[in-house]
Amino acid sequence: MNVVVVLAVFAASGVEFVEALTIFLAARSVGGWRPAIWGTVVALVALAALVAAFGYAILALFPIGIFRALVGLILLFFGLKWLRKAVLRSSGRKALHDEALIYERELQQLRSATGQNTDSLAFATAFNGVLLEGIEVIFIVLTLGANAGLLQSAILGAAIAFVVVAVAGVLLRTPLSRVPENTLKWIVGIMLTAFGTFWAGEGIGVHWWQQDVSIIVLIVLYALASLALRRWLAPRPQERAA
Amino acid sequence: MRKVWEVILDLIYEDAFQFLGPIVALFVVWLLAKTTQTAWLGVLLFALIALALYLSLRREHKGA
Repeated sequence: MNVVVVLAVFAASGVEFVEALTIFLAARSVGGWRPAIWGTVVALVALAALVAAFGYAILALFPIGIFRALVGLILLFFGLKWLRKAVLRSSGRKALHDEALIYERELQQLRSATGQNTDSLAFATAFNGVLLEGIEVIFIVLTLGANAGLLQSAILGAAIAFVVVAVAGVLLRTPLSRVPENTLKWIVGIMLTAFGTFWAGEGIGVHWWQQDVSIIVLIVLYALASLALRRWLAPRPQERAA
Repeated sequence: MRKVWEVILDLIYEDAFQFLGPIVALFVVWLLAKTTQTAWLGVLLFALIALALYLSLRREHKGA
């Protein structure tokens, strides 16, 4: 057992697990626990199957760059959709344009149809996020473990990181349930757009400043941009009077 | 010329922007990443995606 390898893998895979947890919580807040957990479980089964089938060969066979770009693009689609709706609603612009009757009708249609849509969205989001981060953890464990000849230490480091992040996820469950729905969707939109930008950028060859730290910078930038857009969209005094 | 520009903008408004905006942004940055390696490409990617978001909301602002 090598403590240095355990700590190195713990730190490196911990970052990936935190990213997976963020995506999982985002999926849960939109579609509920069930589809988010199913997406995670199916992704974990797929990861286990990949490792069982390819072992060390996965390092050479898997096109991680293309995979990152695709998952990033999918998250960008979801994230921008939610972010746009959240900006429109919080600025009051959505309610201004929709007549009351149409709005009610749409709401009823959404209520009957969204069960399926949000379930699929939550499943796909959790699945993509966990699969991508899981593959990155496998890469970390295999490269650090294999290079040092200490695979068991590397696996232990990743396992400890997984347990620590999972416990943090359980503790975060209650505070998140108190956040208002539209605010939560705004946060989810920002998170998914930021992660999507980061992963897609990595996939197409962007060298991010300070690597994963850039995700935090992107979250702040998207939050500021959406706040500015909300302010810009807010009805002017003469519109309110009319 | 203005009408052509309006038609192009119409294409990327509403739902279409969610697909075209990020794809165009990634394509432009991917092309640049083949010839240059700088952290500013990340900033450019953010700016292009934020621009797509702005363009999709522009109609809501104009239609007020």
